[in-house]
Amino acid sequence: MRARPTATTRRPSATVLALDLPGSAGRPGRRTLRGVVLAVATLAALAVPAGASAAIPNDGPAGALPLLPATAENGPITERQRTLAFDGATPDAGTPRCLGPASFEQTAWLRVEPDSRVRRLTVEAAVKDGSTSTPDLAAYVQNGATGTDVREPQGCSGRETAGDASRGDLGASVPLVVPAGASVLVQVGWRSGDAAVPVVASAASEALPALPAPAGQAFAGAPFAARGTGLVVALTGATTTSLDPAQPRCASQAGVWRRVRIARKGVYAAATAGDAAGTLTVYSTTPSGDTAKACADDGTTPALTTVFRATRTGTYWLRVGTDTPEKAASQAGLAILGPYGTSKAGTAAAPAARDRAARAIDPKAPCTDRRAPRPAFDATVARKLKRGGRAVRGGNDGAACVNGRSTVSRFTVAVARVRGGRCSWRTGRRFGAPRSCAVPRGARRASGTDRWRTTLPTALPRGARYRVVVRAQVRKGGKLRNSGPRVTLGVKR
Amino acid sequence: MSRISITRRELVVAGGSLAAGLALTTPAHARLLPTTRGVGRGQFLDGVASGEPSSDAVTFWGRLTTSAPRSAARLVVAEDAGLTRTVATVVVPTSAGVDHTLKARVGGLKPSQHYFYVWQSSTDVSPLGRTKTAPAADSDTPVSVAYSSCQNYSAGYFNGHRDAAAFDEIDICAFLGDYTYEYPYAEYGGAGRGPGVVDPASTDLETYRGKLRLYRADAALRELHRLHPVVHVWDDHEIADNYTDGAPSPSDLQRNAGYRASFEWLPRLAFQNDRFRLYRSLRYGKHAELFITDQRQYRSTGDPGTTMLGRPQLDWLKRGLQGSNATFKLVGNPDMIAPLGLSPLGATLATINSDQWDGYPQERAELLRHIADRGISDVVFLTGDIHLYMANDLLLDGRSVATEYIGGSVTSPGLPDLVSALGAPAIQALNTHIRYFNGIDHGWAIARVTKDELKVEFRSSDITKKDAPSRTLAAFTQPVGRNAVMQTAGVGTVGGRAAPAAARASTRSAALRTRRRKVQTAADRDLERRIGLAESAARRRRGRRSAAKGKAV
Repeated sequence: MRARPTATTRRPSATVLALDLPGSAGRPGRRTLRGVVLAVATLAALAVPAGASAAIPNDGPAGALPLLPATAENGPITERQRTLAFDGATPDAGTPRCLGPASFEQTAWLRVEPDSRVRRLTVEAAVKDGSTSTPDLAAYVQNGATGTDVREPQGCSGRETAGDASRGDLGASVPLVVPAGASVLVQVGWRSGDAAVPVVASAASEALPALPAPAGQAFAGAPFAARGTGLVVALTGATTTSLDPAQPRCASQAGVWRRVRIARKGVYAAATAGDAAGTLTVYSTTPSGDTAKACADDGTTPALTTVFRATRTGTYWLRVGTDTPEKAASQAGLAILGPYGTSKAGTAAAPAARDRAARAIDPKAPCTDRRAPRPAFDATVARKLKRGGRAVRGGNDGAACVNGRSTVSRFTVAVARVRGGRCSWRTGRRFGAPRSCAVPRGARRASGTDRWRTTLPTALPRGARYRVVVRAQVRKGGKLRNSGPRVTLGVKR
Repeated sequence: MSRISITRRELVVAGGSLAAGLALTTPAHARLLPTTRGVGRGQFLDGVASGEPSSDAVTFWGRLTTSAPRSAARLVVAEDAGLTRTVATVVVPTSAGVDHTLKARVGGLKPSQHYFYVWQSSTDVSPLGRTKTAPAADSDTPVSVAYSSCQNYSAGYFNGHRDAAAFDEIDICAFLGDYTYEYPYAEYGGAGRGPGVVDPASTDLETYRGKLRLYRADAALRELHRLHPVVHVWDDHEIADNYTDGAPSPSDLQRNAGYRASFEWLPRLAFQNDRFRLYRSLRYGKHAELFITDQRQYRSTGDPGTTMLGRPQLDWLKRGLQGSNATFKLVGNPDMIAPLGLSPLGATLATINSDQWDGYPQERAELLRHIADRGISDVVFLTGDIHLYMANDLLLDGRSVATEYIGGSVTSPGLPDLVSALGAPAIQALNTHIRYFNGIDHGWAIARVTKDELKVEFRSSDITKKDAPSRTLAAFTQPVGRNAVMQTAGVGTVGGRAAPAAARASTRSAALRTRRRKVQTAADRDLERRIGLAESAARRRRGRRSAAKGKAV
């Protein structure tokens, strides 16, 4: 049973405006007639009527204000802060809305000045008072001390990522490891329907040791990783650069890139493991907010695994995220396995693929595939039995894991001769009296608990139709029980 | 104000906001957000806590120590300490934006019952916590409310909390202010825990969070949170000393940081659209209703200002007291309400402390007049702040209309011995409504309510010695309808009753493995049961479809 989310807060209705038209600021974009119509409608809607509030000075990135020092009676304050008001604030044309088209509808901008050292910069934003909403927060690392490059945010946080909205006290937070000499633009916003109340924004900075950048710091020219296992990715010294796209679902403070060549379409699994590995994200083409396919930052196994469907051949990018790049000898294992089935298999193949990838990188990784076993015959079985063969073999999908271990104990195979809608089940070398086909009898145990096989004592006699039924058994409560569907193969001999 | 009612379902909370808020066809960064979230990495190094109990719901709290911007943990709630009778499991997301704290409110529970809970990440399992729901509103059950205030980490050991943790009878612990102190170590109260303690001043978000982390690392406070549900209201030191006096006012950053951190680290949910509201009432059976008042947030600036509670809160309190049919109306009162002056007329001539109700005499008079005129009987103020044990009659027109029991301070300095010896008799002589005065000892207090009477016991210990035993300092009995303090004097028993010990293991790793196994079994068992239910339902649907097809043929 799929977990059902609770709707614990009433969300305001969102007005969707397609303001994030790709194609601005020099990047190739896609403009459609619909996009143009929406843009015109948007401009008309945004025309400031007479008497409306004047725009705030930091309404856009060019007007970003600095964070300010503060004092306290009882001691020094190291964080910098500013209270932001949003009266008259407008959205930012051409800037991605990293939490969806309704986010960042009214925005205010701040600038965090560069530091001569690599630093962990944590930017926070929370309501000053009253409202239990969570503001939107994005951070744009600049390539240098100045600049207003807002094509791609590097960090993004809001009500979807900050925690459980029903607690009512969420704050948005973006921690990033920022290269030396890079300033950061911070965008704080409210959505359509939110009360645009004042927000207290703050930034805390922690200097980190200066370390050489690891291989794959930039996605352009990232090393290629061969499919398979045994790859090691160095993470010490990683940062977040101005080209690394934010991935709010699987956020990390820093990361490195690898490329992988996919030659066949299908379902693939990628896994990373190691204390330093925080996230794993797969991108289908040149990394950007648009091209993330799948990511992982959670799970009950030591490895982070994610499954993605490769719908085209070519180069894919993987980003291994880390939150402790200042640690010496920080590294992660990486495995890319597949394809598992065709791309049509989609999410059905995910649990098994995920477990396989996790075990490829950590043989002791526990099993997480709780699905009931569903055996399948190998494609050649029917043809071989028809030609007098005796081997019956196949595979299985679904491990019925409990406490991290598969409970699939064995497979049983029953054979019957079918006549007139009745089945004569084979016991040993003989076929019994015609009985119901619904209840298999005389099932033989097959060897194997994942791939299985058995050999019939004799070839199936000619001139009849046969039914071969396989079913899995799991060990539960100390007893063997049938589990999952019976899978039937018809053979005409 | 129950936010989530979860029984026997595993839910990813906040999924509602994802589903409702995001256009799932949007391209760009948000595309992956709607995917279901599993547990993440992190360790449980800050204990567990629960709070805001009602007769059918409790708010659970935990915290993950992790450097990841986002993570999540599973909460498992069961009726037994062995976690074999699971009543709820839920995966709760968290992030750096809330200092990786975890909160979930679980409903559908039974009244007056203990529940046990753990949090589970992908790499750790928390200690086992215990909580208790409130009695049903029509229950005759006696109720015990523990209360304390002013726990300055520098000043000494939280022996009072260790003592309170051992009282199984407690239904709720009320922290009535000054849960943390903003000063660096030893600046106020001395170096009561010896040298070498790292405890900087709290002035911004990072340092307020660090302050709470330090306080919650105290074993006694952690144990108290582990075993009993709590409710908290702040006073001034959660932000800064008397910060409402405007001299100077704290910056937006400091005030917001203090409020945010306090909310993050305590087991309470915010009121809808009233982010920092603390004032609320908690009903405990027929005989007790606890009204928690916030005497800082709504104060007008000044020393004193013009209002202490703010008009909306004052009206709320007046309405609540008048409308309550509980036998005893207990008011969680951070600041002393009885007059404390240097003249026979008390506050009217020479007030000692204008930061407490003495600085707001009109507001105090309005409240007491309301109690008197409406005939609201058995209103009892449970008070903190002033670092003294006191028991006071609240007089209006010469008649005691309510009572106040000030439960000392957990550790914050009271009066020096000499001052107390000289001053206490004089103070009591000049303020005859003060029936008991002790400015030296430190500890906590417990109020026990039955249908016939309220009993209050003051407990204290030597805070200079870690784990020193506690003793009863004084005890009071207030029969229903009396509205005046009556001391049943004498020093009571030494030490407290033993509580169920936390799981002890020869090594942390062995205990962790055991906890992991239990939690995983409980979660798996619950998930298996739900999967079984889903499969049964699917089979029934297939059967109905087959039957329908058969009929059609």
